[in-house]
Amino acid sequence: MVKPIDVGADDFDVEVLQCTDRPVLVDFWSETCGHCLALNPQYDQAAETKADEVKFVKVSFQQCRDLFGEYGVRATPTLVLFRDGEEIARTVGAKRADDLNAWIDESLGD
Amino acid sequence: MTQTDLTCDLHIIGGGPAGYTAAIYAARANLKTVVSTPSPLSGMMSMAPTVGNWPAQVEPAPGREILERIHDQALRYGAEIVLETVAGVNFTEDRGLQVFGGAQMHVARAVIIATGAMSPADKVPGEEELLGGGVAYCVACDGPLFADEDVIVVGADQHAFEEALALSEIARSVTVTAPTPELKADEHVVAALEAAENIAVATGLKIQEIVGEGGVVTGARYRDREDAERVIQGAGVFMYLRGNAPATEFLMGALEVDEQGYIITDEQMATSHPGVFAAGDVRRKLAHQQVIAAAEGAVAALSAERFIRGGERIRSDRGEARDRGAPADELEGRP
Repeated sequence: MVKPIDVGADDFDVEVLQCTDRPVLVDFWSETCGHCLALNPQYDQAAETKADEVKFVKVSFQQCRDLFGEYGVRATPTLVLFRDGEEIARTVGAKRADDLNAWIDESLGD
Repeated sequence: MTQTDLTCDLHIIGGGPAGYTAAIYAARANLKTVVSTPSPLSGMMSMAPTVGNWPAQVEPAPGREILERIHDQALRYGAEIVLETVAGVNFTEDRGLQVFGGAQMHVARAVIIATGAMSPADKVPGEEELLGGGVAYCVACDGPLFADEDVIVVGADQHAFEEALALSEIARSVTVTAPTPELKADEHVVAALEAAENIAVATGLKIQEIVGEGGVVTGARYRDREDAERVIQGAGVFMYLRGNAPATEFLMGALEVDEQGYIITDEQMATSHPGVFAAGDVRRKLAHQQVIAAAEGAVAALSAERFIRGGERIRSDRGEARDRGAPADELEGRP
């Protein structure tokens, strides 16, 4: 089973910005956020469905506060889609897995 | 799903007459019962100035006063009340019925949705556009993102004011704006707001727009009771205004609802998902009345008990047996 990868400040560059074989979706989340907890099973499901197309990553506010500031994250969960190291789309709030997959497809122009 | 995965037998979402009446029935039936609610007394009944049609309430009384007794009765029988806003659910076949609260996941055998019909109000101009840029709905979720900044809380009920108090521990300053001429909340909450050094309260302000620059919130624009315009600056705007639609958005499509968002149930309050029931104003009905909500809460609890323990018929309330100290086997209907 494919699961999202937990990423911190030390490996954000390698796992997200330097990943060029496929787009990377980053879930900026907080451990105190109920909407983030609600998103978790949906995010896991989407990661399983889209494993070959998109890399799913999670960044926790409690572990990497600075990254939240660097990427202008002002709400949790905020999902940011990167391609070749550049942000191409973002969305805020919990979503069902199928809605998340549809958003990814739309953002990638699929 | 193993026994250790469960956090309760029955999880009730909503702290109004439907939710607390369900909690009374469930707790009396010896079900481990948890109620999630943003405030101890929530919903329309908590805001009703006087209630004159509650049976046995001979003299009209504030809805809050009556609801407090129902709340206390639920506690008396052993229900646990958790103060949190449920952000989502995940109803699975093999891992239990998951309910996501402020910072925890509850897993139950059965769930009752009793969230009423005070959904978040329609979005004001700027709210959708600036979502992610400083518009927020939950201090536990997003409060830390505004540490040492000036923020605004928009709301007219106790939950909004309690959130403002929590936010004042994090933000540099909090401006509470309410559209009502005065704050409607428990005295101790109003007193705490007035005593907090970094909280300013402005009543009689109706929000017109959330304003921003470059996708980032800079404040909010209002009209006061004399129709004069006023702008309050802030890096974040926490919105707690309530509308009058069923509060079902958090379900994210997990249950069947009608065209207006009311949860569809049968006469036993059973929804489209096994083990999930709904009661009160979150269901469409001929008349939205507090006593009807309470009755539905009782039916939902009895139906939930049947679901949890099995059996063909709904058992009547076993409260008499509990009140005389009957053993667990009798309470739970075991031979």
